[in-house]
Amino acid sequence: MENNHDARKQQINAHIRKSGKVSLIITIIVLIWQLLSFGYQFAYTIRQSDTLEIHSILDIINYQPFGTVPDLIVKSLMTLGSLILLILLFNGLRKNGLPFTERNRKLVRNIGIIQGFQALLPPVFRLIQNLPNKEYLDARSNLIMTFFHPSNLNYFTLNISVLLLFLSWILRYGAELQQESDETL
Amino acid sequence: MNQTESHKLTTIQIIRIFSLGLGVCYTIAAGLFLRDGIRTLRTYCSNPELLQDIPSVLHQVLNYSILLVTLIPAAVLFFRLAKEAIPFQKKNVRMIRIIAAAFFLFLIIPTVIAACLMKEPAMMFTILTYLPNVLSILVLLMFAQILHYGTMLQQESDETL
Repeated sequence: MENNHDARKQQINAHIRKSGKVSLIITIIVLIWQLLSFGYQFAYTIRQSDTLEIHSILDIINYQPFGTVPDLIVKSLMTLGSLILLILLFNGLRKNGLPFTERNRKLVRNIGIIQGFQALLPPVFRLIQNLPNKEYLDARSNLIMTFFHPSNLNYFTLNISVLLLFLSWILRYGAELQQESDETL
Repeated sequence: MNQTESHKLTTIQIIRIFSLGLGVCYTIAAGLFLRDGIRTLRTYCSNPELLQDIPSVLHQVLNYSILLVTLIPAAVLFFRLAKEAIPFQKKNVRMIRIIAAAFFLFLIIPTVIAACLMKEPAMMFTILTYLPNVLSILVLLMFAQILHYGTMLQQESDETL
């Protein structure tokens, strides 16, 4: 019975290692994709074209206006930072297959924090941009609308951020169980 | 009670509070999307010209229904976690896999159907913009596996007590 349990655990461990490898490859592809996409977006924003002429597949994919350069810089840095941390996480899982470690907990927590900033910074930028406008400031509802409007506050990213922070707590609980299990052996 | 036990209890309490908050948020979100979906459908039904645009109707119906299929199990999962305070259970693993599958459908299927019905291959390229979101699905599936591993540890811990 004991051996069966251990064998099952090892099987899941091997599965996690395999999934870690696949996830690592996909994350690297996404990282390269994002680098290309941000490069293109920077070039496009700096050129400040009003009309989009279709020359390549990238033109079709990136058909949206990309916002201002500071927005783009913050967005790119945070996305790339999160992806690099995710690569470190999956690489660790690929190597040892142990999910419940302090390192993984910290990585997940940090990705959650970065995602949180990514969601909250654009509306803060909008508010700062509108601060010199006195008439705008007089209407309190304008401030709330600016902050919480879906075009400024990305609810999807905010959701991911909260979920990752929650996951970091679950990993902590798992790490405590893992420690207990290691001590029993 | 030793220090490890007290740490474990604190972590469980935090997980419970977090789960309750998330459960409430997801329920509110599901309610808002349901209301929005019903309103959109009513607008379509009251205007026969809009109803003739089948890809658009199908796109909206699929979007809202899949979104609800993602949000409702998530809310159930979080309320269960808040109540039972044991994250490592087989039923939770199953629930997360369902959410990941629904999320995948939410990202891919409506666009594919709309592209096929509109006969616009260029629209298929928009699927590529979902590539970073595929990572979220991967993280969810990975999380399901981690929970599966956790169920083993939980079982071990329960047997030791």
